[in-house]
Amino acid sequence: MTIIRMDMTVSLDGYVTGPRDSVDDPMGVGGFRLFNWLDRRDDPGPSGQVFAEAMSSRAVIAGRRTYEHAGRWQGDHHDGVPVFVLTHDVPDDPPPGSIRYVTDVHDCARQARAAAGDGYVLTHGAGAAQALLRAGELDELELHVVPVLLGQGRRLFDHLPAEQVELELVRRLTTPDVEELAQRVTHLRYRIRRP
Amino acid sequence: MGKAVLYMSMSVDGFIAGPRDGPGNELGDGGHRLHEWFLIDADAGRQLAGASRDVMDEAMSTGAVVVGRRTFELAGGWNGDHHDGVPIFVLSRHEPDPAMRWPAVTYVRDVAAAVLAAKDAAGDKDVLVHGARTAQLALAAGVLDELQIHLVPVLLGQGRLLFDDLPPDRVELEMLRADDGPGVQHLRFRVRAEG
Repeated sequence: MTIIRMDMTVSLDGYVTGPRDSVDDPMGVGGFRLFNWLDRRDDPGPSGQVFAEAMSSRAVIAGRRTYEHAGRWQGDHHDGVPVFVLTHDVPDDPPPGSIRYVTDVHDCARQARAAAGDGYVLTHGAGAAQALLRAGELDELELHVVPVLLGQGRRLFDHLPAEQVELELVRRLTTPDVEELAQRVTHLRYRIRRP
Repeated sequence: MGKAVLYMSMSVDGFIAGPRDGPGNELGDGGHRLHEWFLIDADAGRQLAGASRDVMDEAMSTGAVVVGRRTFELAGGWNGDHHDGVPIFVLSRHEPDPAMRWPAVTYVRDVAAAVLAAKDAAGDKDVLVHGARTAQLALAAGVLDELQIHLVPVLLGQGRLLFDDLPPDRVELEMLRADDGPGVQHLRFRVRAEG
């Protein structure tokens, strides 16, 4: 079956943004530190590899906040693949480009899997990831762990029930020691094990 | 002088104990899962292997321990001996319970003073720092040198976070090592000096 893989950059202390994130300040205070590794996205090496993989996904699921904070990707996340925005409150204006709004998490997962065909579905956003996790619709986690503590901000894993979810490490890619400190990152891929 | 190194097992979602931790439920609901990487072998009479053995050997060759009172008391004070009778410095704002006094145990009010005293006592050896609250205080006080995180491939959903209640001041880290043990990733970070 087509897998749904969350793809998120987090600080070692588990934040995906700094404090007070908003449309005007989408990464919150100091949160853009998390994206320094993307300076190497077009270069050979682990970060280039994982970025290319993300860009090869054939459909995207995003949460509403991520979607809005990213300026709705101007209707195209990458290569015009369908983007399913999970939202409780469908906007009145028609969605731009390849965006579709979905209100039910299972429906969202089903549509995205169908759209991705023999590719995979990339998931962006803490809210969408949590919803998919709670619904048992998430298959893999790709975490880009940045060696920094932000101290405060928006947590990736939050609002989850006290239920143990077993993971299996599929891959660990770490930038080489010659990389500049600010661009170092560890890419951890986990498969979610179903009971 | 040795370094002050935090040793903690943490779930991928950042917890060091499950919910409702306390006396009789020391690691919280499901929290024992975080210690399986070293307990399973011990329970089966097997020695730890590979990276897990190395990191445990390092922890057990430290020359002093700094621990929070909560962790210390939940552990029964290790009966006054964490390993090899090394000095134990317990961070506490209150007078100690007479039942929790041992020759090797010293109660200290201030985290910086505790780490300094422990480093003095440890000589050339490192200091083992343990406990989430102690880690948070030591980080905030700038007296933690390194972090040895045993990252366990599981989501607990709820519980006690390792990194919580930190000031929103960015703390830059440098990853020194990443080693895969059976069912656990051992990640070692150096806390980079300000600036």
